[in-house]
Amino acid sequence: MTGERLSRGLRGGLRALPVVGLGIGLWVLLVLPVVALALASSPGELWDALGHPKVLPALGLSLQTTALSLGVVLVAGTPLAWWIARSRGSVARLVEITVELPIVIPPAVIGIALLLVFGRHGPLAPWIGSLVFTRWAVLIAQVVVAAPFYVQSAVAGFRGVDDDLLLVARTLGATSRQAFLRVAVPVALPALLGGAALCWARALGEFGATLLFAGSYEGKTQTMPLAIYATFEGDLRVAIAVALVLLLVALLTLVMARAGRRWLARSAASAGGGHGR
Amino acid sequence: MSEGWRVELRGRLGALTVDVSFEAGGDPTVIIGPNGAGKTTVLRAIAGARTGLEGRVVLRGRTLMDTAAGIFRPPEDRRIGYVPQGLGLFPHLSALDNVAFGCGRGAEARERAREVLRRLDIEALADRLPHAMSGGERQRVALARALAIEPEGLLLDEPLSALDVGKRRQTRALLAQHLQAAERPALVVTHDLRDLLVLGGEIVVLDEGRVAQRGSVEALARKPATELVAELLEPLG
Repeated sequence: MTGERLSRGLRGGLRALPVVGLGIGLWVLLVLPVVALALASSPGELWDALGHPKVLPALGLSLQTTALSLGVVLVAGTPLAWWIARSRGSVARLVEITVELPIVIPPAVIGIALLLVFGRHGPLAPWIGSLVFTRWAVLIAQVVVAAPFYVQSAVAGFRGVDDDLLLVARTLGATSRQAFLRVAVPVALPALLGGAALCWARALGEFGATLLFAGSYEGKTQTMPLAIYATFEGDLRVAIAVALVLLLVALLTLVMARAGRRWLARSAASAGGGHGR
Repeated sequence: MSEGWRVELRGRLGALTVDVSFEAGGDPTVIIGPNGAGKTTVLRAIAGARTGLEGRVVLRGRTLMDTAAGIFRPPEDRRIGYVPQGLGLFPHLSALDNVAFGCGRGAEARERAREVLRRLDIEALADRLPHAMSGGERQRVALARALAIEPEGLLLDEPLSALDVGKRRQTRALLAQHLQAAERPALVVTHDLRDLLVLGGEIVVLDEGRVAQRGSVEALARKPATELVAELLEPLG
C-alpha cells in the first residue's frame, strides 16, 4: 500500500520533472548574470574603476537626475493617480490606458518621439528652443519612461482606499485635501513607496531614449548606463566595475523597498483590519 | 420636529429609484429594509457624500442640504457623527489617534480624545491599532470617534454587523445605552430585527427606495402597511 503510493508519487514527480526543470532553468538564467557580474571584479578593481575619469561624473549625474525625475513624478503623478483612481468616466479610463503607453513602447522609439517634440523643429521650439543633448533631455527621458510605473502602482493603491474612510474623515472635520493627505496617502503608502522604488530603478537604468534624445556627453548627459556603453568600447574591466556599482545601487533599492514594505505592514497599514467587512 | 431629522431625498441610482421622505425625533430611529432598498445610500447622502440624490436634509432646524435652494453643506460642515458599515476606522492610526482625528490638532486634541475613551470605558485601547482589536472593541472606538466631535446627530450603518452572535447581544445593549446617554438624534440602519427592540424608538421601513411604513414597533406589528413590513416584523410575533 505505502509502496504503491510511494511509486505513484515517484511517477508523478518524474512527470513533473520537465516542468520543474524549465522553471529552474529560467531562474538560473535570471540570477546567473548577476552572480557572474558580482564575481567579475575584485574590490580593488572596483575601487580603481571608481577613479576612472568617466565614472564619478556619470554616477553624480545619474543620482542627481534620477532624484529630480523621481521628484517630478511624485509631485505630478500622485494627483494624477488619485484622479484616475477616483473617476469613473471614460475620459479617466482613456488617460489611465495612455499613461501606461511608455511601458510597452520601446525606449528607442520614445527617444525618437521626444526628439520630434523637443527638437529644433518641434512644436515647442519657438518658446523653449531645442532641448536635445541637454541635461533637460536626460530628465525628460527619465520621467517619460519611469512615471508609468509609479502612476500604475499609485492608482492601484488609491483604488484600495475605502470610500467610507474618506467620508468619515470629512464628517470629522477634514477638508477633501486634508482627507487625502491624512487618510488616503497613509493608507496607500505601501503602494506609493513600491511604485516610487520601481520608478526610480527604471529611471536609473534608462538608456535607449536618453542616448537618442540627450546623447552621451561626458559630465553633461552621460549617465551611468551610458558610461557603461562608453567605457565598454575601450576597457571592459571599467565597464564591468561601473555595471557593478549600478548593480549595488539596484540591489540596495530592492532591499530597502522590501524592508520599507515590511515595516509598514508591521505598523498595520496593510493588515486590512478596521475597515474590512 | 425641530429637535430631530427631516429628510427628503430623491433620484435615480442605477436601477433603483429613490424617493424617501421622513421625519425622525430625538430618540434613536431605526431604518430597516431588505438589501438594495437604498438604506446605505440615504445615510451617505445625509452624511454629505455626493450620491447624486437631490432633496432636503434638515437636522435640529439647521439645513444641511436643499438642492432646490442651492444649499449643500460639505460633510465637514454638517456636524454629524457617521459610523459606516465596516466602521471605517483609519487602519494606520491608534484608537486614540482615530478618536483625536476630529478633535483638532496637538496635545489638546489627544487629551479630549482620551477623555472620550474614558467615558466609553475603553481607555485601555488607546495605543492599539484597529487590526489588533476585537470586533466589539473596534465598534466602541468607532462610536467614540463619532461622539468625540460633539455631533448634532449620529448616523450608524449596520453598527453590529461585524460582530458574532454572542458579542452582538452584549454590544447591542451597550450601544442602546450610549445612544440614550448621548442625547443626540440617531439614525441606525439595520437588517437585524433584534436591534429594533433594543434600540428603537421609531422605525422607518425602506423598500425599493421608498418608505413603506413609519411608526413604533407595536404600531407596525399591529397594522403592517405592506406585505414586506408584515414579513419583516413576523419573527417578533
